[in-house]
Amino acid sequence: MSRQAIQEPTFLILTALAAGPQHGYGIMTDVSRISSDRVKLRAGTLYAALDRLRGEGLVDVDREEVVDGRLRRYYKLTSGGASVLAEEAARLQANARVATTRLRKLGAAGLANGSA
Amino acid sequence: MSRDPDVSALERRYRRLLAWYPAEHRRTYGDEMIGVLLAATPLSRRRPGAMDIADMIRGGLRARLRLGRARRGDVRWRDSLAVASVVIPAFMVFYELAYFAYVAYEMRSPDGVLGLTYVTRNLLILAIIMAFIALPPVLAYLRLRFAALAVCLVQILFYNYLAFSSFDTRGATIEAAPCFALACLLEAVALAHSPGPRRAKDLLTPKTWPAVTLVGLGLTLPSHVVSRLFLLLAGPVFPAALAIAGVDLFSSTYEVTFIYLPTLAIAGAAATFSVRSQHRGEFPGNTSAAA
Repeated sequence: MSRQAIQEPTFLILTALAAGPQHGYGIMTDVSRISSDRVKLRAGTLYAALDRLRGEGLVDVDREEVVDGRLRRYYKLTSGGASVLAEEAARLQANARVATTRLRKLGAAGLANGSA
Repeated sequence: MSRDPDVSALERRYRRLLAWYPAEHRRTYGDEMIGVLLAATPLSRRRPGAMDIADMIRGGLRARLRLGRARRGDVRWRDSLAVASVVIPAFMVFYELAYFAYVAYEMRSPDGVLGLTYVTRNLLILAIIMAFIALPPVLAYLRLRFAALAVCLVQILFYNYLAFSSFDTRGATIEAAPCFALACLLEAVALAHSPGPRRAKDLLTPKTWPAVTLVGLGLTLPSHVVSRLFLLLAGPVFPAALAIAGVDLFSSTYEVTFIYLPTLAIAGAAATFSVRSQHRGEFPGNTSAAA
């Protein structure tokens, strides 16, 4: 695989946007929800990540709205972003599968050793 | 509503934190970030939380680092350094010429003989000094970049030697030695990180040269004519000003200036301090040293 593994906050931001375009605050709350409150993004981290992802062409601006006199920008996943997310999900899935299989074997061996 | 002033105070504090971010980032995301920060802050809160402050500072520094990294590969940034590689020695030459003209003027006599004698006697020395200054860009133009950088290193060592030695006689090179050492350091950086004078030749059009000349003369002439105290200010300021002018005029990337400026400020302050300690008691306002 040519691409480096992406970090968890980035993975979660892309996952949040996979559900459809969202604004900054929406992404923040969605990331908390997806990670069961384990990952709490703050504005500084979120916008640094969004800026980088936009630069890499993984995320783009979907539309802009003005709510209560304040700019609200909606971000969407690009096709490049979707394929990176799919690639990363497959990688994590494959790793998880290997780990689960080995743990199962370990469990079976442990049980066998224990009963011997 | 009584909450409004609190919200605006909170917003003001958040906006202050935005200063950690590069201007470009602020322009693109500033308002949006304020909106998200305010939405994520409990209504009872009047000040940003410690975690938010840390996060904003970290995010800002990261954005600046990323921008700096991107800019280093940026053609405009390299172009402005290419211009600087020619303009730095040009300013040093202006400085020498201005000093020479000033001394010749000071030594004038009613019949004009003394001033003229000074000029003819020192013309060769002036030519050698100017050739020494011009050597790095000329070598770089001849595609001898390593030789150019080696000469820059020799110049830095030479000007440092002049700066930290005590001489009875005064001269333009001796007085400006710390600034010249700094200018040569900048010259080496410019030559090492840019396509150099060949590219500068394409960028410096007949329109831009007069501007560079005017800025150069404007910065160096008063240092001799108005007072020697001005030298302290003009010396460190001129390489800084030319770098800023180069970056801003030729690339319009103000963020680069922001990254470059603190480095120059520190180097400039060091040069000023060095010149001051050299000329202890010679300048007005330096009473403690004169006592």
